[in-house]
Amino acid sequence: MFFCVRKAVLSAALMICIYTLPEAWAQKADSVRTLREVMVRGIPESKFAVGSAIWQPDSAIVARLASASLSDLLMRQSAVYMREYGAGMLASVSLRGTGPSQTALLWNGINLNLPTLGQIDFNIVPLATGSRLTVHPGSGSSLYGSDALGGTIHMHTDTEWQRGIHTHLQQEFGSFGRYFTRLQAGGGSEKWQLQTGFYRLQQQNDFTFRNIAKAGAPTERQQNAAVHHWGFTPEIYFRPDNRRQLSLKTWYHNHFRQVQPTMAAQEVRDEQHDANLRLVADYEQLTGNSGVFRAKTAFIFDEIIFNGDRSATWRYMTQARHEQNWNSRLTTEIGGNVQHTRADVRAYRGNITELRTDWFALSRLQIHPNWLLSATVRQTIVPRFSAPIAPALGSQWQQKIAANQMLTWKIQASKGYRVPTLNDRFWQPGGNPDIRPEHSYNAETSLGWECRSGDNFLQFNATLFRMWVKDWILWLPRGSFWSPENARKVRVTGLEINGLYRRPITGGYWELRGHYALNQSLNLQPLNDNDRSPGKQLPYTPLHRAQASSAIIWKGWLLQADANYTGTRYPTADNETSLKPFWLSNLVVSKDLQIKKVQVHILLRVNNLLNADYQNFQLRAMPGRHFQAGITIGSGW
Amino acid sequence: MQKIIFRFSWLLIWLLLAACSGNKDTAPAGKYDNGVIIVNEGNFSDSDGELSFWNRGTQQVTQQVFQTENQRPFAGIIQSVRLHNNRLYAVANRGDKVEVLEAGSMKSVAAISDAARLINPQDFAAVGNRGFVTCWGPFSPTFSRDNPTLAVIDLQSNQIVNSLRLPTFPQGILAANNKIFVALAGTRNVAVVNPETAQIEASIEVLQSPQRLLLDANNRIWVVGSGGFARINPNTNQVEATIAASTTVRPNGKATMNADRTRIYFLVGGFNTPQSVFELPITANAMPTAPIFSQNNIYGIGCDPKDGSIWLADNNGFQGNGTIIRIRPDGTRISTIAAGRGPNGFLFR
Repeated sequence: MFFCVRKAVLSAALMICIYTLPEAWAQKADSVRTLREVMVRGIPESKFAVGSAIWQPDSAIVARLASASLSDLLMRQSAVYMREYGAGMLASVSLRGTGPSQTALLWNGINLNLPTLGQIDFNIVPLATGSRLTVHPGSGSSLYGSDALGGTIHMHTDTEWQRGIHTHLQQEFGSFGRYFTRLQAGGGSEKWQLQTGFYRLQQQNDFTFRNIAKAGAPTERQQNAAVHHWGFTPEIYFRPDNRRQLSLKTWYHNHFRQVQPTMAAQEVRDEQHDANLRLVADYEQLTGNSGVFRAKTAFIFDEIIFNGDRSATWRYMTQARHEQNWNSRLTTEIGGNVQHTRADVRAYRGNITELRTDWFALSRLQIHPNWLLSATVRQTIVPRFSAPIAPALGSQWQQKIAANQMLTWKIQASKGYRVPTLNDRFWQPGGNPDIRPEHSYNAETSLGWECRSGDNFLQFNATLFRMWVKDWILWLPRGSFWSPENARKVRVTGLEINGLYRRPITGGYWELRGHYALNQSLNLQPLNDNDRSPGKQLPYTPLHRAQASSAIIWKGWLLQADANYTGTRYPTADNETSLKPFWLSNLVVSKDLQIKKVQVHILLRVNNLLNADYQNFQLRAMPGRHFQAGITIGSGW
Repeated sequence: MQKIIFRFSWLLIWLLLAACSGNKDTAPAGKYDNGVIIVNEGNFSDSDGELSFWNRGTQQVTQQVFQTENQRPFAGIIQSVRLHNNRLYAVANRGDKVEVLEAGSMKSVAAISDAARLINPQDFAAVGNRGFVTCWGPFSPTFSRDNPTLAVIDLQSNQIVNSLRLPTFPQGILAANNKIFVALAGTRNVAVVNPETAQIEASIEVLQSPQRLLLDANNRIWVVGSGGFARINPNTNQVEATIAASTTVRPNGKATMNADRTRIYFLVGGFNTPQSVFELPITANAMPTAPIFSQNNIYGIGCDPKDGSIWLADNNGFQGNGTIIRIRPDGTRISTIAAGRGPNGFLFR
């Protein structure tokens, strides 16, 4: 108890220091207040993410993959690895060599990882909501809280503040009984904006595959893999003046799927039904001439029905934060949030509730015209539970090395944590109420180089990092049931390289992108004397992932070809068996037309262009070459 | 006197075995005829069961023998592997099938499956040309097993020829005295099946949840279950003795006979405690109280009839591949052998 109080006092003191001290160092003579009158768009925390790598997918490509899922996008367009348990099935992320519950997925600042499982399936996160995506690899717990060990993925929605009404209707057809429909409509005035989206996908998914589990590897049709989902996203924005904005955003998603069985057990008939309702109200206000106050309140309902067995959680979250721009050099922010969770899961034997409080203080200082520093800290408080404090320090140096060349050097050190899931703590039998949070130490440095020559643009970025994860939670068989334990210690060493080259051509441009990730993710701790996993790569964590794409945008045409490589994966921790690396390639062709006042957009996609026969996950069949075609009709008046 | 009968019965078994395998003595010994098959059941959601082989001559273990010999993954959760007439019958669920392998070469002869009559198969026994497979049947949404069966296979054609509905879900199966004995784990009974008619001709009440059936040196069947032990005379179908489980020593169903079939080694796995190996002489009339060995994650047990060593399968929490721990009957360690994923049993050759 004393320890808890002392820790709380210590962390409070540290937060106050971070909030106030840099002001003393900053030069107050600078009276130019640079706050613009329009609201700062995007992720409020990102300005404090100094020293860490941030990646955004090409929005033109994201728009042309609207019927795909977040998992598809990351596999195709980035070096992030997705563990896919079949086509359109459970897809769990592995960012920087960590596991699926060690990446936070935030929608408008709210962590979508289910409190029961501690993770979310990226295949039930469709791109059809039109959110802007940002990937922030590396420990981000001091900014985003629990789960952000391997990284954080943001989905952010806002409005373009367009006058008048606009509507878009999209229809797609694809191989294996795939139909996708999407309707988007919105409009408003200077002060009000209303927009909504509706989407629906139906996919029979009865592709043929070579069944290598059977003698002679006969070609069979996949059984029990149909997917059907729909959802809608109504949003209201209100801006009474240039200093205040209120928004209400809703996202309802309903996802039914048959669970694709392994090649070996095609007779298995499992099905899962997910429903997610997310509501968030955001309020932003400029305070004085140098501050921003933000408040947020949210409700999230998550339900999973697996073969008739239901589990549901209800979360209420409220957050308040205040950002102060002391001068052109120093920005600080302080805030906190409270989250109440209620879970109804049969195996918990009764309703479980949790009240979680987070406090955070963030600061950023332009110490020199070329040099930017940040210090951030966050403390989560969970009753009867000791959660670690998460600080981070970042530095960014930018230097012009020639008239058209810029060099950026970043360094960051941070601590991350993950509060154990409700299942870890309350599942009966086996749940371990004494389980400790996972925590990580992350250090990274990156070097970026940018070169502009006329309209030619070349960008190159390399990040080196090392991360230590302690108290990694594993469920292990103990007697007649399984129980979670802080069983693993992991060290990840990695390298990320991103490159972009853009060259104008008459009537458009040509673009080349490439991503590479090396994640050496080693287990350091044996479970017992006979465990052969120490020093070995974690299961389903490829050492190499690479992606390259080339796009030509010319006179309304877009032609994009991409290829991605996934290295050897090991199904078990001792690396004694392995799954072959695979290459996947895809092609997108689209054409934008303007017929009087109507915009028409025609699209053709060829997925798995070279018809690769591969398994991402052991014995889970994946489709060969397949096609998708669509048309979008839009108008604004 | 008993000792003489003993010796005599051994001689009889040897004679029988010799008679059965008479024509095979001239055949060259296969690659996998002299050693121990380690059954790695695999991870439930991955269906990645495999067989490992420990060679007596080289004292070396080879992993993924099925994949190596058949150029395809086994693709199933292997529940048991039995030897009959120089063929191996590997029974698997999650990929419901019985892989029939040539014992010496491990080459697949047939993969028996039947979407209607071979669902969640568990164990195999045979009399002559008829094989019998205990099946849990399909799971209900709440994982109860409401339609268990006994599948009958013609071992010449490797086809399922019959399916017998069982009163509750079965586990172990044993052929003795030209009869088939089935442990009905959902009840207190052992069913006796006539291999000719494939009908239940008797039901013997033993004790709670019978799991495994073992044949001792006196040609008696020992029933191992969570309720304890019962000894059945297969001639009369009568229970001759029972030894009730104690509160601390409750068999988990995994058990083996020692080399001369006079002692039973069995596993006890408690709540959040390590698994323990206990020893029960076939002459005992009470449960043992002290284990001979304890460790976490012991998932299978066997005894090598050639040297009497006890083989224990450590599943390593299914996090990686398992390890076999060889111990002497006094509990001291001999050696460890690397195994595949989730080792659960052995076939000694």
